Amino acid sequence: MNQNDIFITILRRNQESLLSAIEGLTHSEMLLQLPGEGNCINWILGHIASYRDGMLVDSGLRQYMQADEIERYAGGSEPIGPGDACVDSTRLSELIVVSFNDLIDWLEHDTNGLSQNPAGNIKDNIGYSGVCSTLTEHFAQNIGHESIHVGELNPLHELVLESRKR
Amino acid sequence: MNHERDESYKAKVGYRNLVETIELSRIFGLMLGRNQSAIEAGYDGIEQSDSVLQLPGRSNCMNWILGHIAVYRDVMLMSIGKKPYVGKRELTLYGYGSDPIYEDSACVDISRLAEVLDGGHAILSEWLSLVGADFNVETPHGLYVRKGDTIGEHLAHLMAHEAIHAGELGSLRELALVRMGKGWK
Repeated sequence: MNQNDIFITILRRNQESLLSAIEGLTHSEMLLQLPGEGNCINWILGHIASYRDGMLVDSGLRQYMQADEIERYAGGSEPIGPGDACVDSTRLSELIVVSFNDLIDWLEHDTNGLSQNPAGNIKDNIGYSGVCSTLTEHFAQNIGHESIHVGELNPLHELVLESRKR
Repeated sequence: MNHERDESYKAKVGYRNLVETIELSRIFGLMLGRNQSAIEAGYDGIEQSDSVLQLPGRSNCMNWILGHIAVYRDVMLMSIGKKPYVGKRELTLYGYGSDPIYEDSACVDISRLAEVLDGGHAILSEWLSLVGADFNVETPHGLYVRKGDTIGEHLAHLMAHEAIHAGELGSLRELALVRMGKGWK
């Protein structure tokens, strides 16, 4: 058991819960809101995808999202509702799959990768890079952050199922 | 000469294992801290009556989620040889697949659940800060849940499990704030 194994285990759990929460949902269903100031599924997916891009960049891998897409889903960005500008949920779902595959592949095969220096200046990368100095720390922060957002999807998934009954 | 090489090799392996143990402790400590912060932010200022509010659909209320996290955090404590906080009653109320908790259901007061979560967090944090934590030892048998053969794997699953449930608290907090008249877009 090393740090790669821990991150693989948690990322896999996150991905399984995430895909289960969005399975079969349409783009418009992913824009539904619960009472209060929580975010919709579309925003959460984009937010998770952008933080995964941060891990990809750190690791010297290919980044998938465009700058304007990352900005739309940055921490503290405006909520997304029906009619608001956003990335289509289908694209976000695809990003979630490709970024997961790349990260898992890297963690499984580059066993010393986390011990190496991050690619570029980690302080400029997406996620918690501003407060992290090593790849391991940045992965721990980003993956822990992602787990909590994945949990937010469950009540939104239930909301969609309820809306279909109406 | 070979003996010297052996000793040098052993020292390197020992050092590498020590570094790895410290890294794993840091990762788990960081994730546990994140989870605890999210949990505390979720229940901060929430009364017992607000903790049993329900969102649309089949998701659980805040009281059930906090109790469920407490039960699983006790599993983490027992995994490292520490005493659990809760007993059979709480296991029945908050274990996997237990009945939802509504306004008129039997349940544990939210203030007690907060104490349990805070206490478990303190003990686990202290254990993780010790250099001697070994994540490659076998996970004890007979636990309520056993998620991996080594403590490291077992803890990774349990940390992710509690993080996902901690994430569910956000929308329930928003619901409570709306009922209290303190929030609505």
